[in-house]
Amino acid sequence: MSWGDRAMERRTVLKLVAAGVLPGTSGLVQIACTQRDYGPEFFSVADLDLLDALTEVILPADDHSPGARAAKVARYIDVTVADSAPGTQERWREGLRAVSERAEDLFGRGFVECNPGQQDELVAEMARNEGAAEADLERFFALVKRSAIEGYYTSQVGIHEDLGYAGNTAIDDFPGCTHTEHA
Amino acid sequence: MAERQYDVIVVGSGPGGGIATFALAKAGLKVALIEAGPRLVAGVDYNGHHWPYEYRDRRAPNFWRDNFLRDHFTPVGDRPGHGQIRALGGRSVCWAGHSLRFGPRDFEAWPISYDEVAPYYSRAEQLMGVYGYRDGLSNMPDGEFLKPVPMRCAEERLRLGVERLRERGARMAFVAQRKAMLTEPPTKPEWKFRQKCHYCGHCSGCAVDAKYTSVNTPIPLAEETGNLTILTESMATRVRVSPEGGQAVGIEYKGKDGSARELDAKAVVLSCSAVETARLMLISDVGNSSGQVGRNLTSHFGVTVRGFFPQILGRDASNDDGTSYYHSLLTGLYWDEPSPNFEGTYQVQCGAGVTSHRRVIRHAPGYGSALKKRLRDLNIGHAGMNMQGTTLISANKFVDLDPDRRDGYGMPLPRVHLHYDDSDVAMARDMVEKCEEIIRAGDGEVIDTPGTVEVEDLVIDLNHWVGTTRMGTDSRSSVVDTRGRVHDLPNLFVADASVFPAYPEKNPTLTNIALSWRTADGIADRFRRNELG
Repeated sequence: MSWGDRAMERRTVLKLVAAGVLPGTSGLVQIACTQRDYGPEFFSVADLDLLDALTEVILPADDHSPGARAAKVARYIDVTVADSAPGTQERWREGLRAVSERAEDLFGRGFVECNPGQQDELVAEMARNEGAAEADLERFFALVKRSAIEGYYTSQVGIHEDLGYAGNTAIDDFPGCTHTEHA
Repeated sequence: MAERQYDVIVVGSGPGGGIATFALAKAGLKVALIEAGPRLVAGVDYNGHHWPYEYRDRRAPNFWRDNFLRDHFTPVGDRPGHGQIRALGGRSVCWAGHSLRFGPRDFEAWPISYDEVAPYYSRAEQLMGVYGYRDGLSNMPDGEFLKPVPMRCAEERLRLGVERLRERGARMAFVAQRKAMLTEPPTKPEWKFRQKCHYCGHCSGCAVDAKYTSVNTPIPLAEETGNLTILTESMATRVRVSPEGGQAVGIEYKGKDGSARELDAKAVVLSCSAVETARLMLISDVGNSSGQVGRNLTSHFGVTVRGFFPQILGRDASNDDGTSYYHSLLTGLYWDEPSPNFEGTYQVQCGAGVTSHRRVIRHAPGYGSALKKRLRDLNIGHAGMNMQGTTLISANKFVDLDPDRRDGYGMPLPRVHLHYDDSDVAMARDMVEKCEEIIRAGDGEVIDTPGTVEVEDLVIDLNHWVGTTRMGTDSRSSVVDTRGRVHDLPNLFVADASVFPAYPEKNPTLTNIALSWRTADGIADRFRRNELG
């Protein structure tokens, strides 16, 4: 995929946001610059783009905070999979291939090229038996989701913007709970 | 040929060895402290204030995770762990600081009473700097406390739940934790190597030395006396005994270059931890006429239950770090009336809040914005309840030597045998019921529970082992006397938690330090009376 296609996709997405189909934009506007300066260590560029789109559906930008894309979760997964055992690497390669194939079967295009509604439909299918996953795609969903959560909530975006974590700093006194209504 | 003569060799520099070294050197005795690991420096070798995103694998440095040994023992049975740090200070560098006195009831199973140990608790607390509230509990006496540290929001909800159950007759208490951390400026001369806590939550490797460790208090104070020689990266491989077998004459060790060496001394103190002290005695074949070395092994164990309190979500995003995760404690359970279903007691360490380095809730169902919101709410609004019960002392739990495996020093590895008894499972089931009840009584929702506990759910505390050289007055059924002296050898002593003859639910380190100090004072008295050397 060329960066021209990327820009096209971005325009499409922004239109959807404007139409109220999607909330929030802070992560989405970064599509065109998220991957360009990054040479993946393990995944192909196409697979990294797919992972980027997939994790953004799982942890999307919304009114509260930016999403997985802004948090560069796909890059985090890329380096951790690059450091992983061959068996783990194969699960990732196979899983992404299966997602691509399913997108082609359902919508006649790659996952990245699907519109947000189609992406959501596919992820909903992957997530439907969470906790009792059997099909390959269902099991892959658990893997992607676990890794996305790990990457997102250890990122600057996740820690500071989403959780609003205010610690890891020096304070003079620890006040504890100061809300009379809690106790 | 031995290198030189010392009065006392202390083997191991953790909480017990650190305080023994201090007390002996202060008494004017020439002490050699031998430690298998290197001397690590706070602020250089370990630090706080990292962010996970500064690291490729998002794993910020963590003293415990980066330094504990792996594959250094053979586990047998129900997944025993065995935590061990080889560094000056041992696990005192990364302990959580929880400092709870054992109570008068707890000492009823010991050959010494609470009143005999109480002065040493006071001395230990004053040296360590322990913060806490004066709660007035019957079997967890108040100490010499610094300014206390309060609970967080969700912990207050648990306290509310406990208060409501107490109104209905339940016998339990919910109090704030007591920890060995300076919450006041270091005004005492003994605290000159330390700083006041700044509540960043990096207590398992405190780079500002607000938390008491062997390395920031007793060891440097002992060095100042001029009576201490420290041998780091030196592994004690054997206790040497006189040809006729009546006396310890020193130790054999391997130095940095791997060569075998000897040290002579008039007395030897073992402070290697419950597993390692037993191992060294078994390898050396000393002090075991009772056959009890390595027996009576017990630790704390448990399961975790978590609750969620939607009532506290409206608050400001606060800084919940404090002094690490656990700021509160469920205690007072079965002190007065034992359970008909299990033997012993348990406490529950409770914590709450969001931390950068330990986000607690890592899963919720679904995906999309709803998933983000749920994870955010759960991390802000949860409380974690971590059971700490005493495993039943039985023939199913012990330490011996692995006949097949040796370590890099050529020493047989220890084997840790852990097979839970029915009483242990019954205790854990009781804990789960109790914690769920408390969460609901505080108007919370149980979000994480093992349900009906099975052996597979139980998790051993790999740092709380005690009992392998139990104290007693009868040399046929115990290893050391009431002053830590090995019955079989008049100048061999144990100064660590191995000597505990019975184990309550409370954390071991404060009592380890108090007893080891008492044992060291006993050794100094013997030197004064010319009974040693």
